[in-house]
Amino acid sequence: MLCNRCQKRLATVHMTKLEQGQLSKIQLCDDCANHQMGSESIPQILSALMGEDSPPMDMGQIEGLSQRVVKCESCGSSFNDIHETGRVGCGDCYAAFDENMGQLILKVQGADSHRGKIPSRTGVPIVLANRLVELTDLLNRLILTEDYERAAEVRDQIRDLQPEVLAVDE
Amino acid sequence: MSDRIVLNSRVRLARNLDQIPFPMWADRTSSSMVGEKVKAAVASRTALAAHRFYSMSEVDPIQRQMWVESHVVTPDFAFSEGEKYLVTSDDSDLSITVNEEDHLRIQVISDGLSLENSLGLATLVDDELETELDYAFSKKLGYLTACPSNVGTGMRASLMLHLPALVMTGKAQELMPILSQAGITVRGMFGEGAQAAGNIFQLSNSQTIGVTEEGILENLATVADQVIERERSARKGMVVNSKDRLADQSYRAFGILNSARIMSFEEALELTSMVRLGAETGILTDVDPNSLDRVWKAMRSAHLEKIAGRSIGPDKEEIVRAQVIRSILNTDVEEG
Ligand SMILES: [Zn+2]
Ligand SMILES: [Zn+2]
Repeated sequence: MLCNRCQKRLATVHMTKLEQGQLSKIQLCDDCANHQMGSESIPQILSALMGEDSPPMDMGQIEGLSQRVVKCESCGSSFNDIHETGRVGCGDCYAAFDENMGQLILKVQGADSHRGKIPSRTGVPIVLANRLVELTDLLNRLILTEDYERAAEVRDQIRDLQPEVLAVDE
Repeated sequence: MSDRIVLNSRVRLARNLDQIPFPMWADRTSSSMVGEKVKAAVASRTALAAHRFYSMSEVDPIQRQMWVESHVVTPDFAFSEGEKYLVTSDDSDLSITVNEEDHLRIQVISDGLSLENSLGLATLVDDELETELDYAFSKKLGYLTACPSNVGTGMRASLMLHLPALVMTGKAQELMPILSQAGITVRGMFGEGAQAAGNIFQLSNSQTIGVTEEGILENLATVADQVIERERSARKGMVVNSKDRLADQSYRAFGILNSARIMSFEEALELTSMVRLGAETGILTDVDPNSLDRVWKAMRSAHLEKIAGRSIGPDKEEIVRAQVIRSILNTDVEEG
C-alpha cells in the first residue's frame, strides 16, 4: 500500500480521520506522518492505556467517571466522537465533558493544570491573582533568608496589587 | 572545529477562537468566518503589515510544495480541500496557518539554535492577534486545542539535530529511553527512530500543560545540550579510533555527490550527512560547509523546480537534482 499523500513510499502509519462528517481511513508513510507535527493519535494513546486487547472503549466503563452530559451544546459532539477521532469538537467540549477531558489530559500529559501564558484580555483577573501568589511566595522566601530590605519592597507591591485583584473579583 | 549540529529551531503556538467549532468539525461557513477574522486581525496590526494572507487553494502548487518542504505547512494542509489560509512573508521566519488542526497555529522556524528568539517572536504575534481575536481559553486548562495533547500552553518547541556520529556508533538508540524519560519526543525527520534518514532528528516537548513556556524551552535546551555533547564526543572518538575509515567514507560520499548523474532525495540526504560529518570533523577539507547548507535546501523537489524555473516531473527530478548539487559544489570550490 502506497502512502495516500505522496504516493511514493510505503504506508506504515494508519490513521482514521473525520472530514465533513465522514470518517475515512488514511495511510501515510513515516515521512508524511512525521510532517503532521504534534498530532499524536489520542485513540492510540487511549488504546495503549486501556491495554492492547481491549475492545473499543466505552467511557462509562472507566472507573469514577459519570457521563452526565451526552452532547456538547455548542457543537453537538459526544464524548464518544472525541474518543473515536482523538479530536475535540470545540472549546466548550472541554467544559461539557470536564471530568472525562480532565482525566484524559491527565493520562496523556501527566498534568491537568495550566501554568503558562494567560491572554491578558480574557485573563486579567487570573494574571493579577497569579502575580499575587508569586509575590507572596517571594515575600516568604525573602523573610526566610532575612533579606528584609527586598521583603519590604515586595510587601509594598503586594499592598498596591490587592485592591486591583479585589476590584476585578467584584 | 566548527559544527552545525542544530539545524533549526521551531516554536509553534496552537490557538483557537471561542464559540466556533474546531476546523475538523466546522462547516464551510464557520471556516471562512475564521479566515475573515484572522485576515482582519492581521490587517489591523501594524506589526504584521509586512505579511500576506494567502488562500491555499489559490496558491500555485509549486509554491505550496515549497512551503511543505520548508516545514511551514503539512502536505495535508497544502493540498487537501477546504478553507485553508496562510499568513507569511518571504523574508520572515513567521507563519500562521488558519484552519489546520487548530484555528490558528503561529509558527516561527529559525536557523540554528534560537529557541528563545523564536518564542519571543511567536509571543509577540500572539499578543498582537489576541487584541483582536477571542481565544478559547480556560483558567484551569489554558489554551483549548483540537487535540488534548496540545492543551495548556498550546506550545510545541522543537530542535532539528544532525547526529551522524551517534547513529554510526550505535549510541542513538541508547538515548531514546533517556530522552523520553526527560519528557522529550524524538522523531526521525525523514524516517523513524534511529533509522532516521540523513541522521536528522527532531526533539520536541512531549508535555504542554502543567509547565510554563519558559520551562518547556529550558528543558528542551538542557536535554539538547546533552545530546549535542554526546554527538561531539562520539565524533572525537571516531576521529581518534577510526580516522581512516571516516576519511574514506566521507570522501567517497563527496565523490558520489559531486559526480553522480541521477540522485534520489534519500541518497542525497545520506551523502550530505556523511560529507558534513567529514567536513565538520576537519577530515574532509575540500568542501565548504555553507555549500552543504545550500545543497540541503536545494535538493528538495519543489525547490529544484524553482531553481529550474519550470515543472520537472518525477522522471527528470533525480537528474536535475544531481545537476544542481554538482553545480553548487563546483561553483563553491572555484570561488573558494
Ligand atoms: Zn508519503
Ligand atoms: Zn463542543
